Amino acid sequence: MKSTDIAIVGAGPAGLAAAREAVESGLSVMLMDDNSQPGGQYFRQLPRQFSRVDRVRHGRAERLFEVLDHPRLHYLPDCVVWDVPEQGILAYAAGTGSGRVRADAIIIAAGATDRPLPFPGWTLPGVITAGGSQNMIKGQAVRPGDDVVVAGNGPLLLVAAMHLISAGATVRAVVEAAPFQRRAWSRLASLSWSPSLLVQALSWRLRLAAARVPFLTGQAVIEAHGAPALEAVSIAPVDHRGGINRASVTTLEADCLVVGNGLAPAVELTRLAGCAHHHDPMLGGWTPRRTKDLETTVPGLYTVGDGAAIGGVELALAEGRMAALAALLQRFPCACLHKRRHNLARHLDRLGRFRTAVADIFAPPETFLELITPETPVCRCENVTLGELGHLAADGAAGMVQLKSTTRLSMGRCQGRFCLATLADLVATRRGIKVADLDWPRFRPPARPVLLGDLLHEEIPPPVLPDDPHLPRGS
Amino acid sequence: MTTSAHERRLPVGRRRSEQFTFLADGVAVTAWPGESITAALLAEARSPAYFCGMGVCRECVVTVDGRPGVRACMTPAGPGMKVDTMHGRRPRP
Repeated sequence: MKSTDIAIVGAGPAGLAAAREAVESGLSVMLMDDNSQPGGQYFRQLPRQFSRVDRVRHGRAERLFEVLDHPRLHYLPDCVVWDVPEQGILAYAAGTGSGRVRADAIIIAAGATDRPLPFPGWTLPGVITAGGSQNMIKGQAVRPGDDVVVAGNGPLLLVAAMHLISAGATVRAVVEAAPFQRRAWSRLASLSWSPSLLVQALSWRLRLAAARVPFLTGQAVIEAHGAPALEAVSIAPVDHRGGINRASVTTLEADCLVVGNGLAPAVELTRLAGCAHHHDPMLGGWTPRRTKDLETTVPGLYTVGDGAAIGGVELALAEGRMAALAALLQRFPCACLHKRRHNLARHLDRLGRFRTAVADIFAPPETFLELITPETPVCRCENVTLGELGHLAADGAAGMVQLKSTTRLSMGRCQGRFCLATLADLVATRRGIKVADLDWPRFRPPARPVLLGDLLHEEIPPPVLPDDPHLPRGS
Repeated sequence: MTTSAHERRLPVGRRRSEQFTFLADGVAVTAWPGESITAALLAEARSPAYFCGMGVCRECVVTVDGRPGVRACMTPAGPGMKVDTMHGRRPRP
């Protein structure tokens, strides 16, 4: 088993910031990332084989990547961390280099995933997530569609629309479920907690206006049509409680529908490690309980960035530094480090207030469940429809765990990432309780699918087998 | 939906080296070095399974030269690669 001072999961903004803080302070770091290139989703890079001149790099990304050449940093790309078998140990799959690492401190910066919501036609080819649209443009320089509708809820829609326009797509409309415009102006003061981010947001909005893209607020895509792929989308007004006005439907032609309803932190590893979590819709749903130092309820295990609570790139960078600093303070409690931690905490506080203001402006309708018809698949992987779930729920098998085991919902390829939150909403609404009060299915390793063949390369001492294979081990 | 090849490939990040072909379900698809299997399929307007774009949803999973469970959105295409998009799946209705 390898050993290191700090093991970091995720080479996005939060993970890289943590790595730099740690190695510059003299600690050794092992940095593991699922992608083949660093940067995470925000600083996603074009393939290495693309010409250097045109790999237009973010200056900030370039500076963040400098840490990868540091002698005290061991960087493992194409590496899936799939379990926390014991406190302070991570199990990872990386082909023939698979293994385990023991660390004094673990910083999980696993990032977030889109939170798409079911509606009729959401499984058609051509319907993609906001993150998927961003990555195809930023990471592959390929436009995902020519006539695009961007729909859902949250600030990411504006970013996705802007990138699509830059990529030469015609954005037919941005469809935002929140009654955004009515709220934004009255909240301007609270947004001034981060003036640079405010200016950026306003510039996106102006660029959309300049491209004459209709920004439809208080509306939602209620259906995607087409065969075998997307051809058109229907849009209708949605009120703050989630009621849809089906008498007033507009239909737009499109070959690509980009959907996003905010992001959800990837909490598989903190779940597997046994950290306590709480439910906060503003932070993306389930989120680990953390101290001011970003330590979870498991000692020595920190979690930062969007993988812990949705807050964007600035917060991720600052949180990464904070966790590394806190881990460092555990080893070297010196006064100068305390001062830095204090300053960083104030910075985090300001960014946290900006997050609250943004979440407030984009507060979605209470529910999107009215979008789901009985024929709509709730679970994309196992094709479990609302009708099937409703039928079972009426029979009394109404808990999440029972519905999962009777229908296979959440047991497919995505392992519930794109359906469990919807199932929770359905069950909670039907029972008249809060999502936070539901019994969620247990998380089990592997945190992400890995090939069994890869795990055979782990250096684990062979088990001591009895001479007679019929006797129990150890006898 | 009459997108021709190259049109969806953006002029930024200009591709260098020679283009090549790989086989997707027996059909030749053109790609440039570094392009993911999914990006090449999308650029050629072949509506591949693509949803999250970051290796999480696994809708794009294909079998490449016999190796199962490969995420097409995160795996670069290679010359002569044989990609099977339907291996182990129920046929589309």
